[in-house]
Amino acid sequence: MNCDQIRPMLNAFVDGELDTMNSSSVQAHVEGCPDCLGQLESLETLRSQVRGVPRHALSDAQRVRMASFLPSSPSVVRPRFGWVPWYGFGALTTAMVWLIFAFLMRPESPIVDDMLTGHMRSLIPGHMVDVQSSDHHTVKPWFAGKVPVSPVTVDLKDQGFPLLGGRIDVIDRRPTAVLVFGHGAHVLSVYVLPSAQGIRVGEVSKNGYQVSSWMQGGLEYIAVTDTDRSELEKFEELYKGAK
Amino acid sequence: MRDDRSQFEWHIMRHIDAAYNVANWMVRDPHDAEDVVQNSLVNAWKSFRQFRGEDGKPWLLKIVRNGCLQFLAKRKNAPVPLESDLVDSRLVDAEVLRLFDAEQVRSAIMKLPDVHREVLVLREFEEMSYTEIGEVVGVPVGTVMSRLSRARAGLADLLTGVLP
Repeated sequence: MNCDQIRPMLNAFVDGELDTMNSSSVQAHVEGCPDCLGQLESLETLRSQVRGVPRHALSDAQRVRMASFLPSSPSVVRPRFGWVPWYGFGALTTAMVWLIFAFLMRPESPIVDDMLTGHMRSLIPGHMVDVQSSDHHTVKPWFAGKVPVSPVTVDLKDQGFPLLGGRIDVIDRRPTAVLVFGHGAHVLSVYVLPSAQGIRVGEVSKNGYQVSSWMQGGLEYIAVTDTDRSELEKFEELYKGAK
Repeated sequence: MRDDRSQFEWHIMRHIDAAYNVANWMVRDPHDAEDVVQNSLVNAWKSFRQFRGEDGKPWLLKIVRNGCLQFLAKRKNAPVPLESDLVDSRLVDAEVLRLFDAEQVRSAIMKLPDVHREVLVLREFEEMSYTEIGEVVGVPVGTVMSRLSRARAGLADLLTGVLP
């Protein structure tokens, strides 16, 4: 084939859209034709230049907004593991509880990893909340019977942290209440654990996420977010102060 | 309803990043792009019964593209530019094309005619095949090919200053 026949096929060639026969024709031609080879290199350079331009990416808040028109479906909660009845096994249980406690007190708690994973997973569209409501009077009763805690749900919309809803994540194999708050383009997941689970996370920074925990009303609250540490501290203060 | 919703999330919502990216390149404004995608998602949800379980990406992007065209028609009050008559589709040397940075390339892409920009974006950013692009844009594969080669030639010309 000559150059005039090859040229119109070069774009399809770099896009991998030619059939085997045409593809080998182009291949054979450019090996002996510096001019067409130069055009091929230009095309490939142009492609890699275009691919070097960043895509337009969605923020967390935009994802939430975009999924918000879908009907909510609170019935979807199906924790993979049941609520394990630890109590009533006597000495063995005590020993196990101690072991688990020691395990959890390691500097890098796997529970925190569970929460980071849960938070990141929630950023996938459609996974943010199981019950979607900005009304804390709706969110709180929704948890009843699903998790062994009744979290303090607060309204911090005026302070810049609107309540987006609630969901249930499996943390340390237990269904765990999560309250979801927005803050500008960021999202905060607040995990609520019975204090008996007492993991005492304190302040942790990991993979760009900030984690902070506090005790309130006999429950442990652990907030996970990608916002700044200072914003998280502000949130924590507001949460503790609100009633 | 519950089933529809999880089907919709599985097939469609996973492509909202692609939808937002394409809409941004088309309408050239992040707020307008978000509005267009939001409306498109609502339309997609309404017509989800017509979805036959094929690849959700071209299906959604077709709806998003229509949303973009409607938006552009309203904003500009002008028809979508027709194909440009690029006579010579010869590209400058690769060494020259390597000189430009991402911002220069981005702004050159923005100056391409809509019909060329959309096929380039679907091909290079969304990595779609000619067949899938044809499905989104509603043209035969041969047209996708010729538009894409015009888009690339036009881009090279915009970069090197042959076109203003």
